[in-house]
Amino acid sequence: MKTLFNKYITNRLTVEQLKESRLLAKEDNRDLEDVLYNEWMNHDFDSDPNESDALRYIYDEVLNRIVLHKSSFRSRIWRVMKIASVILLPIFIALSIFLFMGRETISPTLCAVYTRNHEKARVILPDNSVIFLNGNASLNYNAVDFGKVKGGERKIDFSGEGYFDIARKNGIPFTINADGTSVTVKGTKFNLETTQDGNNCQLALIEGAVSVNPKWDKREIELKAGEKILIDNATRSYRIEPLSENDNPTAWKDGALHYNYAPLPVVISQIEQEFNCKVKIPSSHLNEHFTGTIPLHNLPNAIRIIELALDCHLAVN
Amino acid sequence: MEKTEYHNTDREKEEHDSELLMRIKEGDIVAFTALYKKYSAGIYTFCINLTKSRQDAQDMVQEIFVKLWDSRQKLSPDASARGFLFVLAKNMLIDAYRKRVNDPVYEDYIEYSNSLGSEDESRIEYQEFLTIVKAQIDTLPPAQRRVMNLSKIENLSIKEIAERLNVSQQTVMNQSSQGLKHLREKLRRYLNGSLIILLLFAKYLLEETIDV
Repeated sequence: MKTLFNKYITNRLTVEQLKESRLLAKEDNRDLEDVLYNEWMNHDFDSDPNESDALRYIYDEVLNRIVLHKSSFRSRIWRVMKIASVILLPIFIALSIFLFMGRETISPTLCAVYTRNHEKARVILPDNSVIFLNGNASLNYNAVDFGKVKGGERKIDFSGEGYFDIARKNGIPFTINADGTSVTVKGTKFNLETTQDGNNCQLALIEGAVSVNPKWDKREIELKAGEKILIDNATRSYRIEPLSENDNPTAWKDGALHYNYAPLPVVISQIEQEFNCKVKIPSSHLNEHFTGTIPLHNLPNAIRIIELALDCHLAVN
Repeated sequence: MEKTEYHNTDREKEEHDSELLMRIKEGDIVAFTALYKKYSAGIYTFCINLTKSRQDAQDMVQEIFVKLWDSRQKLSPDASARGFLFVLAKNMLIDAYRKRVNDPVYEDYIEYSNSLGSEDESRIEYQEFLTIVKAQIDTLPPAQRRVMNLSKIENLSIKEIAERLNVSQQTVMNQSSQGLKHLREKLRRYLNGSLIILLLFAKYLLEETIDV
């Protein structure tokens, strides 16, 4: 076998020997393997420079296939990714639609404005209505919903004192929930004040018309311009009075009190309220009347204006 | 003295190989390239001698080294590189040897080769011989060409050819004898009109007839 194989390798076989090799190759695997192994191990493995081009070519092919093998691993990952994306994409789309819809119904954006003592704020709502907040007031509204849902309904929660300049908007009502008292407006200017204990509510209407609905009453109370309503929740009663020239419901906003022949005790009581102090009026001047403007940023100045106008002395506590 | 020195270099070589193998195992492509440079030429010439074909030898070398990379996890530091490569190549080598000794064109080549004597300069390689035979088969009329391709190149028997072409064995034999006659004439022009070639194909024809 070995001789035959060596002759085969060097192409020195005769036809008869080839046929013999054929028979041997058919029946005996182990012998052939041994011969091949010996030949392999004793073969001169030194490189032949004549073949370097062919070897270089084979090397490139081998590298190509190794790299291809790697990328087939990558393509397997890619296939998995494709399947995953087919499953996950609709889920993501559904989720984003759900979140987008939910934005308006589930997670409304609440806007809140609070003022501290002696602090003032001016808020312009999305519908261009303007609200001035006096100290210790709070205003809540939904910035996303405001003027957009249920036919453009405008709704706010309010407590404390504020001056409202509500914009007209195609008859769409503007509703204020003032510590339970519901005020419906269509475009007016008014001053609204609730006390901190929530018992009293006062609304002075300067322009237009509003309807007020105390929380304990089913009826709506219509208010006309130049009227003010005082609601007492503790006694479940209310009182409507005409707004006098000297009521100055918006003085805090303008920073001044305006009077036209107002009785001095009324002026003094308002000053006492504004500055949180006690002022003693000489008994000789109890029946005097005052006409003029008193600025609210400085108590000595306010007192001095009255003293000069009425030629008297006021003791401040 | 000389012997020890030779032995030493051989041992160093072995150690170097086992280091290369370990680096290949870890996926080191540089070590793989080094091993390729070291062994590919020897494997290539071995495969040429075995397959008698450069193309087949190139495919085998490529296959062996791709196999080496794919099965690098099985490498152990004790195994010699040459031995491991043999394990990878073994089945391919046996198949290639079997295919060639059973190849009818190779038998023709052996006869042709013997007829020229070992020192004849004009003797061509088997691969070239095969190319000429193939080219000449392609110039035959279609029916003969089909039968010649199946019998000479694909090494099918008359019976198998008859089944493949869905014709009778007699038809195949007729086409085969005509094909061989034409092929003989064509080859004579290429291979210096050797009388042996004439004899060779006559003999081949006779054998086939006896087989059936």
